[in-house]
Amino acid sequence: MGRARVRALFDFYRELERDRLSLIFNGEVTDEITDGIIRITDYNVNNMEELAKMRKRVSFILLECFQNLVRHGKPEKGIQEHPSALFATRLVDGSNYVSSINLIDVSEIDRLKEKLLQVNTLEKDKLKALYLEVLNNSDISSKGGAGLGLIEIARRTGRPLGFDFESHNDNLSNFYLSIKLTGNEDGTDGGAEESLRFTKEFDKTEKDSDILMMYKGDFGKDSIMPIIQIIEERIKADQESANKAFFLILVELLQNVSRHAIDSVQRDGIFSISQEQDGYIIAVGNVVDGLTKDELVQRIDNLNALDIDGLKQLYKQTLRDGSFSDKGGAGLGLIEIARKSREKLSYSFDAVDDDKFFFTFNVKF
Amino acid sequence: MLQRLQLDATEDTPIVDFDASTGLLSVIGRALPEDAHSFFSPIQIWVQDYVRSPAENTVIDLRIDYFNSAATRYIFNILLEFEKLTEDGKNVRVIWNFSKADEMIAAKGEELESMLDIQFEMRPF
Repeated sequence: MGRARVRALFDFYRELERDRLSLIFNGEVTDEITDGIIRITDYNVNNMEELAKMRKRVSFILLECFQNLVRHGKPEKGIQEHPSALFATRLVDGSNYVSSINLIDVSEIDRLKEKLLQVNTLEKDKLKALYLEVLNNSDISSKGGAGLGLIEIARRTGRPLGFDFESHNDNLSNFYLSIKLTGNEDGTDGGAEESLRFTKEFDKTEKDSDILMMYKGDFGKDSIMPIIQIIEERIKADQESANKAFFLILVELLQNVSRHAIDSVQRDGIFSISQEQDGYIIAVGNVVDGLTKDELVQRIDNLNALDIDGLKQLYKQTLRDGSFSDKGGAGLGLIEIARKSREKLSYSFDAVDDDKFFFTFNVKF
Repeated sequence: MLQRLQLDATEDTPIVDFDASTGLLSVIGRALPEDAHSFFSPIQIWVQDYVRSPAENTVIDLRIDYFNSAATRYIFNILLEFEKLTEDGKNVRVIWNFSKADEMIAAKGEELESMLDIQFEMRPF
């Protein structure tokens, strides 16, 4: 079981290798979640020269998508205030792909389909005309927005929106929406289908492994904090397991990636959180050099050989030691992780090339 | 007199208010800095200066609800500086504030207490 997950993370990493950022979120979409996802996307877009042209449009499109979700989506469980969705945002090859999967009432399919086909077939000026017409039309639909959101998205992306419907049960249907936003606005360089395919596939695999969230990208401070915000909010929804130790270990694990990164400028890594019956699994992966690999193997094996008292002693001894490593943590973080983990630490290394290894680290809570 | 050290909270660092004139030094909030060195070094330097000419009574009022391992290390080292005051016969005390529901922070306080020669007052709220 654990082994299967280890492989999956490396597989995802390879599939998303060209992505500067991929964030896949699965759960109830609250304002805090929306805010966190927009923050992390904004931060990355603002740091990518090739995306300079679309800086203003990205957060706008994301916000419209979220509002669209909240407007049309149906909560999965009665107690939820907001609809659940699988939401993905990816920055790859100078484009931003946004896709979402959520449940809607079967009765809404026809209306939505009609609107989407309409915005997908209209030329730029026609879209503008339609936009103004809807804007001036006082007959706002009960769902609010009167299709303005979709028209706005179509106007700003300048290319057709990808969409699909798939039956969930007699009353509900899965609604897939996929958007491509790029600096190249003439729409000649392919559409959103590829990202829709990935998200659909992820949705299928995710159903087996219960991934709550997956992130691939920069692990520097400005990326990590919005992620922690998203996870904090996501876990809060699962009242029972809300657990502070969980956050602290998460912080240690995420900060650990940038500490061991080969390249101190591009601190790239991947992580996922999945839910099991009795807890959460955090899996973190990044590329390290051979020296770091040997050091990590030795340290983790040492920790796994200790019992809880042994770990406590080692923790105190390391704290007392006072020698600060130039990496900052001086091993304290790993000991802390081992002390709080429910199971022995599990890890694996996959060779990337002669002196580069993909390190996967699994911790269970 | 050492200048009062005041830092506003950020997303990953706490409020710091160290007043040498009263001997009241307080830290409130989250301590999760990725670069703990940049954040804590100035604080450590301030404390090193402070222990050379301390107030008669020093109260270190800590109410930290999250901290990472790098921050733990710096907090421990800063508290070590205050041990010197005990050795010099000065009155120094740590108030360890923690939420009643927060076993982890309570345990962290006990662990630090067991490793330091400073009086700890555990204060659940």
